[in-house]
Formats: sequence, structure tokens, C-alpha cells
Amino acid sequence: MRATCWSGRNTVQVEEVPDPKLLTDRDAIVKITSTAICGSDLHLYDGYVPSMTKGDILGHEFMGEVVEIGRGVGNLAVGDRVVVPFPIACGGCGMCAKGLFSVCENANPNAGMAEKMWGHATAGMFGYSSLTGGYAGGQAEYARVPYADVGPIKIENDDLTDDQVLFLSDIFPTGYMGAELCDIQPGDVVAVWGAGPVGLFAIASAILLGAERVIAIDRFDYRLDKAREAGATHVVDYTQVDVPVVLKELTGGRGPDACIECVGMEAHHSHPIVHGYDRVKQATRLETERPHAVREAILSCRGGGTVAITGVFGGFMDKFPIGSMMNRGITIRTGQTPVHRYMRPLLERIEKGEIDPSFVVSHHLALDDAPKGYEMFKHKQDNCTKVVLKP
Amino acid sequence: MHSASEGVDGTAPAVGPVRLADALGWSSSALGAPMTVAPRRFLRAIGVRDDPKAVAWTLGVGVREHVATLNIVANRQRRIGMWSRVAGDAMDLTLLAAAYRHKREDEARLFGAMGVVGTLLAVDLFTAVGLTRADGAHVSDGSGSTGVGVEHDTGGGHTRVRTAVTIRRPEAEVRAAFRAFAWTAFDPAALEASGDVRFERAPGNRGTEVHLDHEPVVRGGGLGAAAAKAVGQAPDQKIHDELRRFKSLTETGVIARSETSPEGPSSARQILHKRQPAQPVEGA
Repeated sequence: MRATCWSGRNTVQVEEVPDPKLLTDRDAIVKITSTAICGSDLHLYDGYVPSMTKGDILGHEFMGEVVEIGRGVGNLAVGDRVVVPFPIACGGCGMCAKGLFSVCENANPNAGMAEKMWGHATAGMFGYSSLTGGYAGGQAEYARVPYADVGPIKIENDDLTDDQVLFLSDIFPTGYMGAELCDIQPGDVVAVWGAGPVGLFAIASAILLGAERVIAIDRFDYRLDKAREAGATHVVDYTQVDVPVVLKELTGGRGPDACIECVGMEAHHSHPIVHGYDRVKQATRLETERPHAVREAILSCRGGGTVAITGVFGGFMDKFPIGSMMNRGITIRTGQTPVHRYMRPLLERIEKGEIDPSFVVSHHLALDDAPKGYEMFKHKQDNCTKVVLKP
Repeated sequence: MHSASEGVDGTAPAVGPVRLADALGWSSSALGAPMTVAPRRFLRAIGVRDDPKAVAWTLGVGVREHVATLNIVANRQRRIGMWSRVAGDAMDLTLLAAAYRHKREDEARLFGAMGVVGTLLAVDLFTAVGLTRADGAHVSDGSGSTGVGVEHDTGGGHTRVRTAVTIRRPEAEVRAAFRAFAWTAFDPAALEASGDVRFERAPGNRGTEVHLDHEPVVRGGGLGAAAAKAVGQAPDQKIHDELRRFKSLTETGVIARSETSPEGPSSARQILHKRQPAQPVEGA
């Protein structure tokens, strides 16, 4: 089959690789109909996620048709149309029992590696380095889906297009979780850093959950336009203004009640010296993150407010403003999204017409054009917000 | 603020190897300062001719002394720092002996300097040995530990494994599964008989905790153990791999298998994870 393989920093290739086969009774093989490039894939592309190997198949946002199932998968049949969540979770451990599927205790066979870096391991994840299990990803023609009786959700409504349901695999639940973690009350003002796909879903979700005002922060006009489309009441271009100052002004001096960080480890800062400091430390591996948005969100948030972090981070950051966080009682909530528990309720919202996730898509490309898709997405060419690949 | 920390910084009498190490760490800079600030005067004071080569050596040794302070006091690498000081003392004695032969100006002062360095060597050695012993005692005594992890007994070639895992199943079921699982790292019956494995109810209805406190036999001595560890075949690595497989199998009926770890959790695969990309394997 054809598959998108990581082949070192800033290079992906679509290669011929062996077809996947069932490895356990609880596996299924899915023939992929749509698969997307995630902003977090760019961290892999840029080479900032450790434990990648040349040849790793990328991709953790995919959907398709079940073509083969193991004996232990009772709830799926060949021919079912399914969306697959990006975390791989067993459904049987203590964490899964609590609904914390992204920290499943069994599904990551490389948990020992992850424990060395993070203390405890995460669940398995498709196409996201050895630390999360070394699973082949879904930017390919086929994928093996472990614990297929736990993860995939069946899409029975044929009126829904792939673009409408594909993002149940990651970014819609991730953006939604960001808003949900903020425990939004009527009248709340929410600021969202990053108007990429996750940020757009966080904005839309904050509105769905009752925020009165949502302020979007980004540096690209076309993304800020999308943010308005998603429901943002205010937009801020951080290259033109000092964000904390503007946020104070927009909130009558209080600061936002909640801040959602949708940027991750490769943030930019408009001040060249501040940006350069973390850029150099990251390039020389003295820190793994460029965490400008996290710092700014904590400093901007009102006393006693909540900062939700949905951006992906790898290891260790410098200059974490713990003084601001501690003295002002900021709550930080975060996590890899336990997608499984959001799929059903969010699918219902899509079916009811409360949201149409396809608004984030800017490009459809053939699977073989994946390298072009990565370049466009990385460099924000042609107003790129989201690339969907069609195998 | 007057606090106990002042004492730790060396103003209190140096009792115990740690305090002694910190005091000696500060003394490094006290000695290094005149060497770096006024190397010529320092050389005259110890009775050595201050030619350019001797000055260069003195500057070098002075910098080394400051590094020693940073390492021991600021970096808290006391044990390594003290052994470095021992090596430094030996180097200084060699330098002084060379100076005695080629650059002697004042014999009495040179002998005095040698005496001081000799005394420092004895004190440094005493402290370094003390710290090493204290570290060994700390590592092999597991009484203060949380009970999870691996402890290395520096006294012998053995590795004691203390670890625990929670299985979301009732105790009777976990016990039965424990006996039935195909362990290669140990004999489950022998472990139960010796009391090296213990089953406890996990709080909050979370199933059963399996606690292991086991000292597997390590073959091949220190070198063999290190070699086994490097390829993921050490007894503690095997125990951890098999415990994960046991948990997965008992809770889910299967062992989690990825493209890069097709046999399930494996320390060897993790160490050699770059050998194989995350792609389906032909014929797997």
C-alpha cells in the first residue's frame, strides 16, 4: 500500500510499504477514505518530537471502511464506515474505566520509554513516535486499528460527508475539551491563542458552551477571518499589538476568565529577542518547547481563572511563570484528549446541525501529494488551514 | 533570615562527609583566588620561580579550583567533585615535585606547600570515601523508598527489584492468572512461596495490587549485568516487561502490539527502537 512516511526533518515521502495485518484478536483493518494532516504532525515534520525513526508512517486523523476484523471485535462488521480516535486505548484498565482513555495503562507497549521522560506513560497513539507506542499511522491507504471494539465510532448517517465527521478523530474533541476544561459560566470572556484548526474548534465550542465573548489571537489575517466565522467576537493580531495589554483593555482590566492555548511547542513571539531566546534554546536542545502562548495565557488570565492547554508539548520549558500562577490562583488544565468519550456527544451535535466541522478544511489533496500538503500547511501557503488527503 | 541553611553553607562545623565536602568545596575557591588573581605572587609564596610556563600552570590550576567549587557547592555533585579533588591533589603533588627539580627558589616554602597539599589529599580522600560509602548505604537500604523501582545493591552483583502493578480484577482472579501466566523472568510458585510477591486490594475498588520484592540472580558478574542491561535482557527489565504483558493480558485478553513492538512490551525493542520504523512488517 501507499503510506506517508517520515524521513527526517522537513521531509515526508509517500512510499510503498507492506499492507497491515491483524496482530491481535481485537484489531481491525480500515481502508482509509479520508485522512488529515494535524498541526501536531508539524512538530514531527519539524523534528522536535524525540524518538522518531525514518520510515515511520504518520497520521492520526483518519476514517474509512472496515475491511477485516479480529475475532474479538464484536461491535463492528466488515463494510462499516468508521472514524478512528487518535489515542489507542484498551478499554479495560483503571484509567479507561474512568474515561481517561488518553492515559490508558495497557495500549502503549513502549510505556517503559515514556516513563523515563514523563514519569508515567500515555496511551498508544497512531503515527506519533516510539514514545507513544511506535504504531503505524493513518496517512495511508490502510491502517491496523488495535482495540477496534473500543475506539472507532460507526457513522450510520450516510448524509454526513467525510469532512463533517473526520475531525471527530482528534481536533474537534481536542478544541471542545479545551473549552470544556474552562468550566465556562454565562457572561464569561474566553481568549484563545492560535486560530489553527484546534483553535477554531475551541472558539466554536466556547460559544456552544455559553461564553459571552471569545477573543481569538493569531498572526494571519485569513485565520483571524476564519476565527470570526467560527464565532469569535474579537480578533487580535499579536504581531501588531501587545496581547496582555489588549486583553486587559478588552476585558475592562480584569483579564479573560479563561484562556485556551492551541499553539504548542513551536509558538512565535512578535518580539525578536524573546522569540530568539527560546528559538536558540530549542534548536540547541536546551529546552524542548517554545512556550510563548503558555506564558502569555497565564500572565493574561484573570485571578482565579483557568488556562487550558491543548497544544502539544514534549518535555521541558524554561521561564514558566509559576509566580503568577501560584499567587493569583490560576488553574491549569490540560491533557491529550480522551477522544473516545467525546465522539458520541459531538457526533450528535453534528447531526443536530449545531456545528459543521467541515468549515476548517481549506485543501483536499491526493495521498501522493502529502509532501506538498505538509509544506503548504507548515508555511501557511495559499491560506492553508487544514489539509485532507484522499487515498 | 537566620536559618539552618547558613550552617549547610559551611559556617557550621563540618560534621559528616557532606558538610566536610561543602567546606572543602569552598576552600577550593579560597585557594584558587590568589592563583588566578596574582599567580606570580602565589608562586613566590610557595617558593617556585615565576617563569611564564609556571604562571600558565598556576592559572590553569586556579581555574580548576573554581570549577571544583561550582561542582561541589553549587552543582551538589559532592561525591564526583570530591574524587576530582583527590585527582587534582595528586596532580598538584606531581607539579610541585617537578617544580622542586627545575624551578626551586625556596626549599622550605616548597616543602611547606607539599605538606599542605599532602594533608589536603588525605582529607579529600577521607571525605570522598565517606561519601561513596554513604551513597552505597543509601542506595541499598530500601526502607525509605516508595517501594517502586529498582535498587542496585553496590555490595554485590545483584539487583533487587521492588515494583508494583494494579490489575483491575478481583484478587482470586489475579492470583489464578499469576500462576497461569508464562513467566520467564521467575518461577511464580517459588515467588509466592518465598513471599517475594504479595497481592493486596487496591483502594477505591480499583482491583488488586501485585507487589514484587525480588532479587533475581544476576549471571556474569558486573560486566555481564551491564551487557545484559544494554540490550534489554537484564532480570529487572524482563520482570517489568512481563508484568506489563501480564497486566494487559489479564485486563484485556490481549497483549498490546505495535508495529515496532510486535511482541508487546519489550525493553530490548525500546532500546533498539530505531532499528525498525512504524510500518507493517512483511509476513507478520
